[in-house]
Amino acid sequence: MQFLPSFIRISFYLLLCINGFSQIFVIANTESILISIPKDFPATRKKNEDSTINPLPHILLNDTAPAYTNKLTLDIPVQNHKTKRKYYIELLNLQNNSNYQIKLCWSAIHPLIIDNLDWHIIPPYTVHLDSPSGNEDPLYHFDPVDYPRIIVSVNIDTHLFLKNLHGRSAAIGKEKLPQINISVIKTFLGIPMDLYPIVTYITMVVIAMSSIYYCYTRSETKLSIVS
Amino acid sequence: MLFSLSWRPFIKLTSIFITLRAIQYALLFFAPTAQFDTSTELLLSSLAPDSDIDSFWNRHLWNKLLSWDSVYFIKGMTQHSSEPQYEHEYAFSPTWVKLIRLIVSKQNNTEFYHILKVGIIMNNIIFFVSTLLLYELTFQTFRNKKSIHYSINDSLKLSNLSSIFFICSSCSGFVISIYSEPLSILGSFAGMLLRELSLNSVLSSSSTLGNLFYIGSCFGFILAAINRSNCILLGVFYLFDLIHGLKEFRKTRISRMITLPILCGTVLGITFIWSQYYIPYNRFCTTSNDMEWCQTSLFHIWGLKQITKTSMYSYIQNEYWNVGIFKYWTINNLPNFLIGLPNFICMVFSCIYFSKIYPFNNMKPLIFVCSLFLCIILVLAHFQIINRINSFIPLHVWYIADRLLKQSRRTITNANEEEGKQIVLTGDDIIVKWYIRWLIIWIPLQTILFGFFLPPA
Repeated sequence: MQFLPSFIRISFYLLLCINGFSQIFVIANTESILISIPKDFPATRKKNEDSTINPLPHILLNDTAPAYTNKLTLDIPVQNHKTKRKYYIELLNLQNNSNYQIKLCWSAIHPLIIDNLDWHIIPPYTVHLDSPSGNEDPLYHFDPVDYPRIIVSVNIDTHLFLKNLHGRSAAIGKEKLPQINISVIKTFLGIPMDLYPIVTYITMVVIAMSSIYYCYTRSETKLSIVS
Repeated sequence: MLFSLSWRPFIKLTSIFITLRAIQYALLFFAPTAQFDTSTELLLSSLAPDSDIDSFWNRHLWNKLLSWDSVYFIKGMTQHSSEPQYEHEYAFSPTWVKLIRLIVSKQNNTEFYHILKVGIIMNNIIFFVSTLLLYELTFQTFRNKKSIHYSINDSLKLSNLSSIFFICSSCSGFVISIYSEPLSILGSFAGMLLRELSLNSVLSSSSTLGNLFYIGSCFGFILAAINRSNCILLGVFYLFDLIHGLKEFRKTRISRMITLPILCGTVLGITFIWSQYYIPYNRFCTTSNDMEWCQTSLFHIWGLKQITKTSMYSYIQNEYWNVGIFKYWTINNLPNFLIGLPNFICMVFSCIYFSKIYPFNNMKPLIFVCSLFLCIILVLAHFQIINRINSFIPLHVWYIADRLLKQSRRTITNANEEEGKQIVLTGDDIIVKWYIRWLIIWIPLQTILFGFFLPPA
């Protein structure tokens, strides 16, 4: 009976390690950050109904839906003269005193360089935001609203996408433009909610495998003693 | 006796292979459908017909097999041109991609999911054929009549055990998809087997057959090396054979023991340079010379401009995946080192085992290949990929199989001599025991992680 607990313990550490990966590392075609909404944060609007001048792409959180449906697919325009751009996405209907994981995914078939994923709280009545990275990005204009906005920003560079060996015109004209998925996932005990089903599934499989192995080795020992 | 595989082990291996794959695909099927990395849906919206993406089997099984590097392979297999679209895609075996494109073109069905299924079926077939080759290779390697450790019966048992462990190897989580590794494994095992058959017959009467086998081994190694460039290490076999041939020449006067390794080694080397230097240079550097790699020519004379400082593959690895000497040695990569550690330890001990404890003369080149491979993995590569790419070297599989065989022998002896006496495990036995325990967890875990698009890849 000694073997089973040690096996489960190892499996648990393995799971912890894997979960650590998903949160700490920037891996392959996924980048993520964790954001924390303070307890006393003023309520954000449920919809950006009054966006008229320059409406931002937004994600309206729906707490009753599964975590993975809080997602926005953004088309990335590709232009030869300007390959590096900063994108802003507004998050609406976030809950106070909650933590969220912001996750960006893009397909490896469209090479993009994505960095500086960050989030900002824009004070009420702000009409523009200076780019923190200096002069390369223009000021981004907002509708002046009477509530603080939560904005996610990210730099996307498309110059690799333009290094198409089949010809540049083919990249821009005929083929589908690159897209990115931005997901907002609530966290519980520091783990994004969308990971719970897989963590549960892996735990069940690991326990099942350990039990089968334990039973097999036990029956084999019995057999050898009998023989 | 040329081939040792009889019906009984064949049926046994087939059953184990089918059972393991059935378990793996079932694990994928029952895994949650929403992946951690949501980019597969972007890939599918670009490449697959919208009407097919959400069908029951696609959603629950086939879509989950398009994670990590399989994205590059499926893109190559389904796009209009057979050539890579971006320079970094050249790192994902154009040979394997072209093979699947060829099979699909013969069937006149270029539908996305059909291509994916053909790729998966081919991968499984190639892996299973490699298993059968390993069975024969193990037998041919260990059946040496001069050996004091292995009788013919032991060699057959070892072949059986090795093949079972190969089916359950640490790359199992990846080879259920459309990765190119099984093709390299096939080439590597075929090459090693033909060389072994040749060496077993080179001094006997059937020298023509031996010569043909030896030349055939070269084609196996070429297939492995142009598919995955790390398999060029297999060229070490010819280097060893040449040294051995030079030593033996005085006694035997058999000139083919010198000429054959030179011939095969040269052909392997030239093919490698042709595929890694000439083809990419002519593809990328003749029309537009803006690629950094094109500027690294060592010679600026006609015909030799293609010889660059590094191969195209090394350039891509360095440029896009930050592969380089000690570049992976950072604190945040520590978990990746831990994930690859069981295989690394097992391979290190297998080298020591077959060079010090149970030394085999004909295994020397393989030990050298394994040692070089381990140095490259440790210093240059992303360490955890050892779990995926080590299978072209069967040394650690033999190590595990051999320890298990010796353990079972000791169990029988102990049972006969002293009833109830506990068997004391040696250091090697403990390593093997923990490695097997790790595999039991790792294979299903890696299968699920792969399907859910979670690291480590």
